[in-house]
Amino acid sequence: MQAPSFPGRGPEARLVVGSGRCFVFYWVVQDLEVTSLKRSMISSIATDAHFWVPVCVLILGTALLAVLR
Amino acid sequence: MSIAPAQSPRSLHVLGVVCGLAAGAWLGAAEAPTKLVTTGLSPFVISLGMVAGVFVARWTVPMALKGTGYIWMDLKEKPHLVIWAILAGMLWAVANTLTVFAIRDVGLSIAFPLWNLNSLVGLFWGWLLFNELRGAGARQWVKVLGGGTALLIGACLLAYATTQSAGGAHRGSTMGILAALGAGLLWGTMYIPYRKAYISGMNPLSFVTVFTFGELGTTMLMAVLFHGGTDGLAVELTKAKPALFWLFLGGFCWVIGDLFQQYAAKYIGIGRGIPLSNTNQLWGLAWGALVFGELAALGGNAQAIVLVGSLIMIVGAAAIGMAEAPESEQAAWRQAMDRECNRYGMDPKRVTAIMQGSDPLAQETPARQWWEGLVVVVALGIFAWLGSFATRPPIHFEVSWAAALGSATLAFLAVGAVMLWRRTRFS
Repeated sequence: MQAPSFPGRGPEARLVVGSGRCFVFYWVVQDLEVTSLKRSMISSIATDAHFWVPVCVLILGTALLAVLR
Repeated sequence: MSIAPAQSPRSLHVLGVVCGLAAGAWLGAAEAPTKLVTTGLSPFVISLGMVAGVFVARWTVPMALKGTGYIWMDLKEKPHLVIWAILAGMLWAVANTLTVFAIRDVGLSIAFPLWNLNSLVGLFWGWLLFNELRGAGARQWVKVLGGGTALLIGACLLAYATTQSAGGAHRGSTMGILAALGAGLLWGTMYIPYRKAYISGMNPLSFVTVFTFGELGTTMLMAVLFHGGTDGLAVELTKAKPALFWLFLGGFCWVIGDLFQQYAAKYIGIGRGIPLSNTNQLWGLAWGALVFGELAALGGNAQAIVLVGSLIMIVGAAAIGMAEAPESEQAAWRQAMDRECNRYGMDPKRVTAIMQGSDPLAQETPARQWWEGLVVVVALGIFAWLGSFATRPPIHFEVSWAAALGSATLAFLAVGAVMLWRRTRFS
């Protein structure tokens, strides 16, 4: 698949968008093929309240970094 | 390979404390390469260089100790922990980048104690999410909380004394303080995945093998973003070429320290393990003052503050070292472990055995492969190649003190490794 251009955006923006696409490709497209065991595992992680604590802190830290930059 | 017999809680507590102290020594030694900042290298490149060394070591050390077959089977047995390990690596990387901003805005002396609050953050998460200190008596609370606070006070005193040495010159900034506090929050929260993995019976060596992907990936992304793309980063890396060997070496020390920290988190929990490994500030100060002569211009008062701060930190570490989890708290830990087993479909008996230092997986793994030796040779080759064009940075360096501190650090490695091997077979 040819990567579309991003007029007016630097390499950073392309890198972020590209990484995001890779992430979505892996977790969404590949997920269509996963076994029920993997689905169950993903569901267990997603419903584990403990998981969202570090995720929220990571988002918070990244936002702080963006402000500092 | 035989399975080590189940250990008594007391022997596991002693093992965890030794691992926590060894972590402090090795994480402190890993700070020495940060001195290279003074030679004009970009902090991001220094961080990236160290993380690249960490990446090499994180693949080599676990493979050399347990073999790839073991690591692979361990990961296959608990696949849900892969995402946790990557998440922990990402938290580490963002926190590490925040410290760069904190040091820039308020100086290392103020930033260091602020991000050392991670021990109290970890203590809180350990209590809230993993039943640590639940059912422990008031004496244990006093020892752990008092010890953690003493370590924090000691850290503040050391930082204050260092500020006197540096003339207190730094840019005061709310954002710098926020960055340091943010780093402490992220590093304290990073221990949630650690503890999660260990009460699920994962081997720390397997955990760090995956952790490093989140760590290196995020650090590279940060370095590219902050250097205006890959071209800017390439230019900075070329400038840093003569120093890359030292950065890789610092990364290697960091991996050893982190592995001990992981074992401490496994055997005594994060509430006790993190403050002990935070004694790295004491070791960092010793390397800075004795080897690099950082405090040469320190006055009598500041020297006294350094002495008092160091003693308070030692007392704090000793208090935590004596705060063995009583049976009632151990029962609360088992409840947290059972919860994980129920949620992720693991065998509680097997996980209990692993938590007690046994290693059932070691009997089920395939024989070692010849190419594992080749990977070790390649890793050593990378170090040798980097060493071939390494130059000595133009900074003050006291060889005799470096030898003394290096010997003490190696002694911690020897004692910790022998205890881990004898009691757990590195489980």
